[in-house]
Amino acid sequence: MRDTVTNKSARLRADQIFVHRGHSAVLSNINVDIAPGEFVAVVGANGSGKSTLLKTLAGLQNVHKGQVLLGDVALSSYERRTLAKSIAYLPQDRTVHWNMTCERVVALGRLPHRNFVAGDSATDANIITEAMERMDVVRFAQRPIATLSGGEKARVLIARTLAQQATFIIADEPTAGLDYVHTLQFCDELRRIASQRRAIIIALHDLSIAARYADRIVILRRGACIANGPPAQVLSTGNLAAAFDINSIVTEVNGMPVVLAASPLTSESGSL
Amino acid sequence: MSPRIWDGFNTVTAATAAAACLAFVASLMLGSDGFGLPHTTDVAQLVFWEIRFPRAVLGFFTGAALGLSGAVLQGYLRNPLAEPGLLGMTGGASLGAVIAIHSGLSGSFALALPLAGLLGAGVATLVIVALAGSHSSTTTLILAGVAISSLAGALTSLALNLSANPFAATEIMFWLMGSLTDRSLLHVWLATPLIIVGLAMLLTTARDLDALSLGEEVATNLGVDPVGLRFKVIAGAALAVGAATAVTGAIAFVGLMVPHFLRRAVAEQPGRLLLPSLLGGGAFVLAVDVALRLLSPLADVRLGVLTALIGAPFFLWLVVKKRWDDVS
Repeated sequence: MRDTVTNKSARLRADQIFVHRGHSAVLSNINVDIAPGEFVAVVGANGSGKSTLLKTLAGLQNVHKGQVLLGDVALSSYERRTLAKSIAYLPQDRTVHWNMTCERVVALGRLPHRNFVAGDSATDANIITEAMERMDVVRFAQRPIATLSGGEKARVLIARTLAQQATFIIADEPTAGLDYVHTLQFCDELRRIASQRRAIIIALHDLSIAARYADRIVILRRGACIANGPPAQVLSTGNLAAAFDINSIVTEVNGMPVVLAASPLTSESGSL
Repeated sequence: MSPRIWDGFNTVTAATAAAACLAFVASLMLGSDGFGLPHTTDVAQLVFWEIRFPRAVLGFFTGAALGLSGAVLQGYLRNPLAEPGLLGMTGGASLGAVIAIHSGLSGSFALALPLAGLLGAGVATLVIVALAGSHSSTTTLILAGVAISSLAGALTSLALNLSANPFAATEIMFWLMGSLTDRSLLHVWLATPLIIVGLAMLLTTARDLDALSLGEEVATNLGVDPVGLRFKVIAGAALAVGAATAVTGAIAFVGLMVPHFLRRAVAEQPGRLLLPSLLGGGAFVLAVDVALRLLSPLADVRLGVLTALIGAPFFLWLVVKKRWDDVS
């Protein structure tokens, strides 16, 4: 078992991944390679395999073929706590099973960094506070988490993920339920993190946000990767028609990319 | 460490520790002739070390085993209604003891009854491990526990049903109600080492239980080894609860009630609930046992009966409070 990640600039790489559920393939032959410093958005229709891909990259999914590597070493060869310091995972499910205070929930992100019996160190406390500041949840610190709205709770859980201070942050639709200002603040924060030689891999529904913030977009369709590249290159009406069954308009407003879903694709109309 | 939270945890730990010490001393001081230290005569010394001391030690460790196991199982299963009996070890230990009484084995040598109880708890644990394995969902684990408990309960009823002599039936009934009366140093030597190992295993789960409050996937991402955690939970609870039940019989409600009662005081953080539940469980069982001896009308009431009598109204109060919280 490896207990250190030797190379700080180690890449996270999915190598010919196949995942099956029952007899159907959820992911087939996925190859993704993410370097620290990159912001990667994973998009696709419902059931296209986004969540499974993110879980696979986080080492939380059994794969039938292929492997995920951090550096040149398979994820399964690392000690769990070493991996926890390198990869942080935020699921779509926002359940918190006990009604803890928000500060305690955020503090859970420090678990991999603490030894067995220790409480939070001064460093931990600073990191927890900073993560809460970044997500604008400091004022909820002493509130039980069940008293928060869905969007507020989502921000607390994002802060928990940030407090983990991992090189790779993998988040499954973290912006779902967030209002505009917090969505933009969150994405700015992710950009800032990516600029510190760390990597962001997130599933997104909002294609305009993905186009604006991501360095690279991975488009999934029924478990297969149909495009993987810079937004300008892969967000074509053809790709969007194939992935989402929509007619779309891809344009720019004030220098910002905008993707508009115009109408559902019907078999008669074909793609634009 | 944030001082606010640390204080809450420290306060509740100190309070439960003080309560446990107080109850322990009270239990040691209380004899059939009222409160007081034993006289210096040999007989009085013997009574102190052979009767009062084992009773106090077993009372504390039994309560500690039940309280801590309850807190750990509630955290592990993420369900406030989980209790030590849920995984079938209590039922298994009871069945083992009942078989020993029914077969007359318990009369043949002093430790036959607790040894049979331990054997029963061990068999129940092996069955639950075989049924639920290391990777199944918590629902599967609960179902397996319920299945084992039901089977053990049915077989216990069968033993009562087929009991040819009324004396054995009465003995089984009384044993099932749980008691600390007439336990000797032998019982202490048999049960406490196993309970202590179980308690130690359970206490090591604290940070994993904290991580589990965000679900199994996030816990795994935070460094929890799910297989290792399940092993510690099942083996720890089996040792602690199995050994306690084998010498005292089934003592109801402690494992469910004590963590419930203390949860708010530690701001619902499952890992921080462990030590207070251990101490609080010990204090509670000792206090109830002292009350039984002190109040003469209760002289013939068994320990497990009184804990249940206290436990049921406590839950009524919880229901009322929950309804009140829901509407306010």
